[in-house]
Parts: sequence; C-alpha cells; structure tokens
Amino acid sequence: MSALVFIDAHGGALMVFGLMIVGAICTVTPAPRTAATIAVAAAIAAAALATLPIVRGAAGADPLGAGATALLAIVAAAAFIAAGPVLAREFDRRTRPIALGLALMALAAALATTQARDVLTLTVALIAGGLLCACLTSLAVLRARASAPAAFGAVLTTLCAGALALAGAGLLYAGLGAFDLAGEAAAAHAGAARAGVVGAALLLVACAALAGVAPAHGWAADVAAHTPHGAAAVVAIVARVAAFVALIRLHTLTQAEVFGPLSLGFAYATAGLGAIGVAAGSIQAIGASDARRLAAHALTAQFGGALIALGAGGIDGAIAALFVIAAGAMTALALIVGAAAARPQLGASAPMSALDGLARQRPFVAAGVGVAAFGLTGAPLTLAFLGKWLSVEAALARGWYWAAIAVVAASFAAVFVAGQLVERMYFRERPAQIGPTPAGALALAPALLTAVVTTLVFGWNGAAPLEAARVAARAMLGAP
Amino acid sequence: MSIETLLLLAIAAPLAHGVLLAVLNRPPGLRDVVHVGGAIALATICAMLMAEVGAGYRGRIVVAEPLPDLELAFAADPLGVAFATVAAGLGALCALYTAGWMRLTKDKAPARFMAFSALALAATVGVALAANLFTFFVFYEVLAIATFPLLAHGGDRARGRAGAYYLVLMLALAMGALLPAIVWTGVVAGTLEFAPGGILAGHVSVIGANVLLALFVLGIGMAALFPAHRWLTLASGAAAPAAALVFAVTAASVGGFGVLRIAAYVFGPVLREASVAANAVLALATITLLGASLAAFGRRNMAQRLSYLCVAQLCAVTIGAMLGPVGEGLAAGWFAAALQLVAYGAATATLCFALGAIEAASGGVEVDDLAGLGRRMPWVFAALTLGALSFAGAPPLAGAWPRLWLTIAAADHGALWAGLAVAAGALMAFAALTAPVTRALFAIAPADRPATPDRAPLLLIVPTIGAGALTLMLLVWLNPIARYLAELRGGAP
Repeated sequence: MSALVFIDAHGGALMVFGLMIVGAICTVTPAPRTAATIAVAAAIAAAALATLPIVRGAAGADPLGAGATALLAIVAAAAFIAAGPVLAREFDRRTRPIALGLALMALAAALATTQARDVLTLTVALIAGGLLCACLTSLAVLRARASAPAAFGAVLTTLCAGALALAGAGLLYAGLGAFDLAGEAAAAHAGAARAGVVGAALLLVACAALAGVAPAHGWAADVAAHTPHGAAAVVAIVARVAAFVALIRLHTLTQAEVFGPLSLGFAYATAGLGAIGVAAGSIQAIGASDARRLAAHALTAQFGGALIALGAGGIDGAIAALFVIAAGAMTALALIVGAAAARPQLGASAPMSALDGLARQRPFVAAGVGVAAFGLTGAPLTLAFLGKWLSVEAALARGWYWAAIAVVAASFAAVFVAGQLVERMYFRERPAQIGPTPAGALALAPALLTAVVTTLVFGWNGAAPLEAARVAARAMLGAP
Repeated sequence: MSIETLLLLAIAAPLAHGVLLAVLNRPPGLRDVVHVGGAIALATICAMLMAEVGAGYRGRIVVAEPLPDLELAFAADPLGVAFATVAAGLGALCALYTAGWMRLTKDKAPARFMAFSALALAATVGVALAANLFTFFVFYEVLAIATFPLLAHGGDRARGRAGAYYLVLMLALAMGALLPAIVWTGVVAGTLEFAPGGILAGHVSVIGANVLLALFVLGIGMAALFPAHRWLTLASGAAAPAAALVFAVTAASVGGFGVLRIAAYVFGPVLREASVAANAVLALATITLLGASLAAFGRRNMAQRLSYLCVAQLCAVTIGAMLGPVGEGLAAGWFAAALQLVAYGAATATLCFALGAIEAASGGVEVDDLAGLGRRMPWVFAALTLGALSFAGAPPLAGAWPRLWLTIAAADHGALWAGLAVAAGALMAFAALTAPVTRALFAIAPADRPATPDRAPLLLIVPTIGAGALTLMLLVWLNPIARYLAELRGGAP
C-alpha cells in the first residue's frame, strides 16, 4: 500500500488521533516555544493531510466531510501560526502550552465532527469539542474574571446540547434502526417512526446550539469575545463551523424519503431559523462594541443565510450554503486576526476602538480587514458575493421571495458593519489610552493572507470551489 | 488594432495608470506626466473604439467567469462606447486640472488622489462597456469604492462624513435593490446580457416588470433621485478636482447612464408593461428636478448651488429614460437622455473647473464674494457663462438639444407636464447661475478686496476653457451623434 493510498484511506483518523496526542503532549511540554513549534507543525501537517485528497481529486465517498475538514484545517493552521506571539502576550510560561494543547485537541474534535458519518461519533465529537472549547475560554478567567460567565455559558450549552444529542441519537436509532447519517440506512425503512423524527429534531437542535445558530447564539458571541486571542479562531470559527457541518448532514438526513411529508416541515424550520439568524446576527453585528463579538455575530448572520439556502433545498441550495459557510469562515478569520493585531494589551475583550486608526499603523492588516468587511457585504468579486448570488437564486427558484429578501437584508445590514469598520480604521485617530499596535504582526500574515486570498481568488473565479461544492452537494443528496 | 484588443486596453490602461502612479509618485513632474499621459491614452483608446463601432464593428471579450453563465465581460456597442469616450475625454481634462490643483494647493497626498481617480475612471469605463448586468454591477460597486477616497480627500471631517455617507448609501442601495433586481432578471430572463430591445420581453409579468423597474431605479443611487440625492449635495464640499470627477465624469454620470442602460437594454418595450413604476419614477424625477432647482436658489455658496443643479440635470436623464416606453416617443426619450448625458458631463465639468479656479484665486465661491471678479478672470468666467447657459438649455449650447428632444418625447408620451417641468428647471438653472455670473462681470468689486487677486495657474484655466468649448461642440456634432446612436434612437421622429 503506497503512502498516498494509506493517507486517502486513513488520513482522517490519523489527523484526529494525531492532533489529540500532540495536543496532550503540548499541555505537558515545559517550554512554551517548543510547545508552539510543535503545535504549528501539527496544525500544518493536519492541513496538508486534509488538503491532499482534495488536490488529488480523491475525496472519496464523503466529499462534504473532506471539503469541510480541509477548510477548517487550513483556517486552523493559519490561526496556529498567528497564535504563538499573541499567546505570549496573554499568558505566562506555564499556561501557554496548556492553551496550545487544548486548542489542538479542540481542533481534533472539530475535524472528527466534520468527518463523522454516524450519529454516535458525531455526538461524542461534538461534546468533546464543546468541552475543550469551554476549557479554552476558562483559561481567560486567569486574566480577567469578567470571562467567567462566558466560560460558564459555554460549559452549560455544551452539556445541555450534549444531553439533547445523546437522547436524539438514541431516539433516531430507535426510529430508523441505524446510527448512519448517510441516508441509505434510513431509506431502507418503510417509514420513520415518531421516535426517529423526534430524535432527528433533538439532534438538529443540539447541533444548532453548538454551532451558535440564532436564537441560541448569545453564548457563542460571549465565548468569541472572551476566549484568549491566540485561540479565538479555533473556538469562534473552527468549532462552530464544524458543528454547522454536522447540522447540514442532519438536515440532509431529514430530507430523505423516509421522513415523508415531514421533510417539508424540517425544510421550513431550517429556513425559518435561518431568517432569525440573519436578522439577529445582522442587527447585533451593527451594534457590536467588540471586534470579536462582531465577528461572531457576522458568522451567525452567515449561518442564517446558509440555512435559508439549505432550506430552499436542491443541489443549488446546498451549493449556496457551502459557499456561504466558506465565505463566512474566511471573513471571521480576518476580523479576529485584525482584532489581535490592533490590541496591544490583550485583555478580556477587543473593543472596537482598538481598530481606530489601524490603517496608519498597520496598513496591510487594515487592508485585509477591509477586504473581509467588503466580503461581508457580499461585494462583487468576493467569495461571499457568489454565496449570496447562489442563495438568492436558490430562494427565488423555490419561490421563497421572503428568503431572498432576508439574504438581501443581511447584505444591506452588512454594509453598515463594513462602513463602521472602514471608518474606524481609515478615518479615526488611534485613542491614546489604547496605545500603539503591538509588534509581531508578521506572524498574523499567513492567517490574513489565507482569508484575503481565498476571498478574492475564488471570488474572481469560483469554478474550483463551485465544482467541489457541487460534488459535495450531490453526494449529500444522493444525486447522480 | 482589433476591437477586442481596444476593449481590453480600455479597461487595463486606467488600471495600469493607477498602479504606475502608486509606484512613480516622485518626482512631482514625473507623477503629473504619468497622470495626464495615462488619461490621454485612455481617451485615445476610447476614441479609437468609437471609430471602430461607428464603422459598424462590434466586439465582446470575457475577462473572467466566476460562476457558469456569470461572465465578467465587455462589449462595444454605440451607447456604451459613446459614454466611455465622453467620460475618458473629460477625464483627460480632469487629469490636467488635478495636476494643476495639486501643485497649487501643495496637497499632502497627490499620488493617492490621482491613483484613485484613475481607478474611478477605469470603473466608469467598465460600467460603460459592461456587456451584461453582472459586469455592470461589479464596476458600479468598484466605482462607489474608488470615488469614496476622492470625496473624502483632504482629511477634513465634513468631507470624510460626506464620503462615508456616499459610500454607505451606494453600497446599501446596490446590495439592497440593484443586486436582487439583477438576480431576479437572471432567473426570469435566463440571461443578463444587455441587448437592444431588452431581455425581459415575454419573460416577466406586469407586476414583476413594475417591481423590477422600481428595484433597478432605487438601486442606482448614483442617479441622485429623491431621496438618494443627498449624497450629491453633501459632496459639494469636496476638493474641486474631486467634485469635477465625481459630478461630471464618474459617479453622477454613471447614475444617469445606468438608468438609461437599464431602460433601453434590459426593459426595452417591456417598459410599457411597467408603466405604473415608469410613471411613478417619471413623477419622482420631475419633483426632484423642480425641488432641487428651487433649493439651489437658497444656497449662497456656488459649489452647493451647483450640486443642487446637478441633481436637477441628472433628473432630466431619468425623465428621458422613462419617457421612452410609450408610443412614437419611445426612442426620442432615450436619445434625449443620451444627449443630456453628454451635455451634462461637459457643462458640469466646465462649472466645477471654473468654480475651482475661482476658489483657488480668490479663496472662496460665495455668491457675495464674486462681485467684480469676472473682469479679473475673464477666461474662467467666460467658461462659467458657457456652462451656465448650457445648463439653462440655451441654444446653440449642448444643453439645448436634449431639452428639445425631451419636449418631443414628453409630447409623444402625453406627459407634457414633464416637458414643462424640464423647461421650468432650465429657467431656474438660468436664473440660479447667470445671476452670480452677471454680478461677477458687472458689479463693482468691494473696496476691501485686494486690487489683483492671485491668478489661477494655466493648468487650471486650460481645462476649464477646454470643457467650456465642448459645450459648444455639440452644435457641430449633433448629426454625427444622432447617426452614431441610431440603434438607440430607433424609430424616433
């Protein structure tokens, strides 16, 4: 068996267990620099492992999982490169390796979530990921006690969602006779028992809560605002997107023939949740007083748009949802990195005023955040534009004018968010009490470049991601 | 050179021009040569393109395809190339004026201003040559972003606010109304390609056509139709080259062009089906025209007065575009709108240049301060007079011909009230602009003014006179333009 074939067959497991083990090693490594080097190397190796099958066109039977894993592994690798110098400003020598180790293990759990093909694995991965993220947030309490409620909220949400997910998994098994998420097992049964329907609903609720889908998004914004800057991308983006991918899988399951007319109910519920997410995320992003909270709310709004597209159904809807999520992840990454670059003394939060005058002190960082901001609005030739275009098309094709209006309203609201960001960075003086921007911005470059290049290059020519999304959508829906 | 190469050059040249400016920003002489040379090169390319299209050649290029059937493509058609040529020609005059202005005011960041003006010009040409609605939208957005630093240039807080207001308004309207209209059009018509006669015929219901037209007109905020007109009046405080570029060459003109392009090349005869929305837009444009003309009287600052008159002049383009759909007047309205775009661009550039030169020489453009200034700056005030008379629609200046065709179109349409409103607007523009000019030429200068105010430098005066001369040239060029725009003019009388 050649190495490539071995990677194709076992790359996923290798990534998850490898990251778990390396994460555990990191937590007990006495030297923070060594821990940082190990963490960065592990994250880059995971990104390479995740990307290799996509590049080789060997995504296998689960292109959605492969694509999502690659996306999240790349985001995480970029975030880990940036994490070293940022964490050095946040924690002492003893705590830094623990933070890095926990972040690696949280990444492992997230990648396990995206690759899970059965409900039981999914549930375990979700709970593990949620708890690890809560632990990361708890580290912030060492620096600022104000972070305690956010950590408590994360723990509580994870435990509640975990309980719901476990109950849902049991009921789903009772109803459908299988833990399989692929749909074939479900279709083998003549009709879904009521237990199966309730189980699927419970699992959907659990995944939605862990993904921070509105209205259960408050905790996600708190966590994003209070998690140490160095680990914020893993907690606020990777973990949430992984849970959202699980949500997509479960939604697809509910659209199987076995659910009969209830499928339509699930579709409406999904789209309805999406509309709530778009409204809540957009409004709260406009009023956000913290840059990372803004990123979290923006991601909530993007999730809303993706849910609307998903609810609209069909391959086009699924493709649109995948585009929107990828664009949302990149935007959030740029915003979080921008916040870290702007804040000299990393405390419990990154107030918006930290971005004031950023363009003069860090022009490239400001340009990157600016691109992300325009991407957020769905400006043309950005990845988000294509996502919005496809979403509106999918909604109109279904005759859901209200859904199209919701997507457009999100863009409309995002213009104000982007305007606020640009105005702060380019037209305001930096307040004296904030102090100059910190050194070490070079380490943030890979993360920012990843976000900007992905946003612009795939916005210019979306053929490659479109094809990947199409393959994933067809596999999800069992279409030829 | 093939028409496809010219199309590519028309987009690439101003982009390269902007990049060169960023690199070769010193010494000032080299920077100015690059800026003026780049603008002249673009004007030459567009003129060559116009000659090719006039000879009957057509071309289309695809630059990118972000999604299947969603092309970033450019095409050479008479209306688009004519608008691009006017914009590029005025852009060259603007470039010369900008070089003079930057030297005179010892601006802190001239290269940045020039680079963004090159980008704005690229976006304007992109909008003009867009082969489809997607490309139109992309360059419309690029234009909104590129003109924002021009309006905010100078670091002044008021300018910053005006620029931010403009940017947020343009992006919000484009995202909130223009984009949905484009996607909807794509879904129902199955194409986004501009075509003579429109693309919606047989694909859209009466209600759909009305809603679509409303969305399109609302989405093109640069057309400055009430209540989106405020961006233009707020921007009156911008530096003179920025005002000239944004009011005459890029954003405002693109607004008018956009409405005309949508009416003629997306709706076509379907505008008749969208008569409710078309008449509503017509009424709104008429009200805006009259309101803005009246409001201009109340401004003592000439730049503010001019901004209100620009709103009124732009409304005349919208009126022409909406007058298109009914009966024999169909193409007369569109032809009038196209002529008005040319006349508006030339006259507005003249007025902006002249006011800038006056400000540079005397330190302000308050109406009360103009007394007696005309005798000290005869060339500038001669150009100002030409621009004012063109705004007023006085023959044989450029503004006269669109008024004539608008009246014909309004009569054919059975909406003589719109024609009367245009005439009233012209009279008010005449009064609002010629009164201060008369004061400048014939009133006695105040005793406390220095005997000889500083003269405006030649680099400001030459473009002012050049733009003023353009307002006269339409007299000679009317017939060739009518022949050139035959595709748009259609069955007009």
